[in-house]
Amino acid sequence: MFGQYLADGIILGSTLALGAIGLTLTYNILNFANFAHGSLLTWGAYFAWIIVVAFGGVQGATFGPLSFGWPLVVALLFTAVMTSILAIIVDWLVFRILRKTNIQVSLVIASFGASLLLRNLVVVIFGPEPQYYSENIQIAREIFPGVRVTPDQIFVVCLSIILVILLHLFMTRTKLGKAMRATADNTSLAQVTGININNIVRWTWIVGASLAAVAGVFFGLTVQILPEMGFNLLLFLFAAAILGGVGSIYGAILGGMVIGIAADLSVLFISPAYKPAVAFTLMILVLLIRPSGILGEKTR
Amino acid sequence: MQKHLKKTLVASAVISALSFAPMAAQACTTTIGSVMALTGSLGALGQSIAKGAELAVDTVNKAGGVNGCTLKMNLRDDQTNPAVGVAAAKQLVDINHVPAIVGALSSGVSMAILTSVTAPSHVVQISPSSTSPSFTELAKEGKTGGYWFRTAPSDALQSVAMAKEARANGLKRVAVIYVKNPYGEGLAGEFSSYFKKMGGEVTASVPYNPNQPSYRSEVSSALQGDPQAVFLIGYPGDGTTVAREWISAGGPQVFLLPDGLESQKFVNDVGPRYMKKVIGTAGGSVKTPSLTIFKNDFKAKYGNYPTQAYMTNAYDAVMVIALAMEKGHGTSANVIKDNIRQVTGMAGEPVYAGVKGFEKAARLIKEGKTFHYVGATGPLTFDKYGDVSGPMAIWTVKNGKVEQTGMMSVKEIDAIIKKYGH
Repeated sequence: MFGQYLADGIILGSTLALGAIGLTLTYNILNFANFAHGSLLTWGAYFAWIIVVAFGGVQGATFGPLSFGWPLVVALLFTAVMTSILAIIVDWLVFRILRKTNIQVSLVIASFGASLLLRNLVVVIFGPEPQYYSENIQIAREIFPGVRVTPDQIFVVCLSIILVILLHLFMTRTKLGKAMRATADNTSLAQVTGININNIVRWTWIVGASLAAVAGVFFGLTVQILPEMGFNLLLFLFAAAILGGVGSIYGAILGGMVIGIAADLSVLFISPAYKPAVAFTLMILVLLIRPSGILGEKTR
Repeated sequence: MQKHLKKTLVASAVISALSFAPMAAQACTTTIGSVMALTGSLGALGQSIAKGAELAVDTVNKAGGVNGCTLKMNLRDDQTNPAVGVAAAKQLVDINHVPAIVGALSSGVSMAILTSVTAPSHVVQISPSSTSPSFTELAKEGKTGGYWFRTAPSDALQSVAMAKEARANGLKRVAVIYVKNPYGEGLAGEFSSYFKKMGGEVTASVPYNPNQPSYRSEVSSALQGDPQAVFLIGYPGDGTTVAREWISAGGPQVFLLPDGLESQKFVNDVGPRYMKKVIGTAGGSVKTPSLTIFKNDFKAKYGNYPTQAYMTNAYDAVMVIALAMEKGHGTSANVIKDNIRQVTGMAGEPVYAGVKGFEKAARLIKEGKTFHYVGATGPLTFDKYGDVSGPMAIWTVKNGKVEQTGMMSVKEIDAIIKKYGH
């Protein structure tokens, strides 16, 4: 059973990792804990759902054993763009103004308000009922003895790995990525060297929101699409980001994986009723030993 | 807070307006209490269930009141929160000195009120919708003092029906996945005990928490032991995820489903083609003239027909209290407690709901004749633990549609309980 629980954990961990990256990026560069991040996941899932439903009539072939065809690929691109636009609009309407006051708490509380607003907007537009990208349910196949996964789940894990590698290349090899890291390290110094902070803020939202959107689609693909999905995931995302070390992208990936795997493996030892507690107990333990998180920088 | 306060004020204003309607020109008033979830997670249901209770108050007053006095119901909001519910009940008992409380809705809130307010203060409590079997256990231990009643049948009956149906369909090994709350725990526990006594085996009993990101590991552990079917106890939202993950993980596509999942939306979302066999149970109903009277009276008062479960149970709860006070010529808690079984059951002439029904009951009491009230939910027979029994509907999914296939009568269920009971 160990292998099965490990596989279950990795699948959930991939979704959490992508979501946590966006959270840690906004924290690092914009300097506040964005509670509205969960709602970006939700909106990402619903934007993609619109496309999948719109193409539902013409959707014929699916990619091999996967449950979806090209509409979902279009949907992934569409939702990345739309969720980024949504994030920039929210930033422009709310956070841009509050950033000037420089009071962190008001930003955090405002993000909580924005989160409630965005979530309820989903209910108003799409209704409270759960939705699915496909009516079909994939039956899991045995890939290793005792480990059964569905093709969609393998796709989710693989695409997550690809996205993380692309993000790594973006942050280390491109001028924009380097500028983002510079801003995160020291905003004033970055500004002095001629980096356009407003541009960096915009790109932070685009990268964070796009990854959140993809994470939302992944969750919709492997679980379900629900107005509360982002909000329910939010605590786990925060746990992942904090566990890995707030501000560290690689920490967020690691944190997501640790939280996902630990929660699912815990079922081996204790009743699943206490599963949610495991992730947070682990987070507290790590913070007691290493207050900056596993990969966090000591200076922060 | 202010919103709740406003609602409560409006509610009490409405009630007092009704109570002092010209029909009832009596000088005296008799006040009973009610604690219901008007806000919080059960708020949407509670608002309508309260209407059922208010209709009964209205009906009694139109029929001349209780012992010639106007009946008044002091309705409080518990916000679906045990702490708030206890505070409200305490006020009703200590300050308003009510002899009976109708409520609460959620089993969690009802249990808190029963153990810390009504049972210690010897005040009658009748819940219209708390179905957890733990109340029966409490009554067996003598901790309710006989002051506890409910007009909705306990989930214990449903577990009996489900265990029986599962065995009748040749199932021997069943996994149970249940939502971790009094509803899920009660149903899962009772089902397991009966199913084992009937020669079945529960291969795994796995609780799950609502609103979790994924239920794959719960499903994985439930699949251990090679079950032939899964008894999934929950509500449509998370229940759908669990069911889909069960199918996806290669679990047998044979589902045992309780009343909480008797929903077409649930079946559509899971996909009927993945549900090869469905055995469902839910509270059934007996059609009585009282139900028609209730529906018409409801339409006359609120402009629309009642649409939701447990409204009739709330109506019956108030009617039973009023009849017991009338029969016992008093308004104290003990009069109500001792006379509830005198006005229900099977003996004597049947009396139906509505103004005419209450008038008829009052006349029969004057003439010294026995009668029994047939409720809008069906005939009510309270056992010594304050429970009513009711028939259980058996349902399934046929051609993608939820469909009732049969009814397990009270007699059948009683026979099984006697045979295997504990």
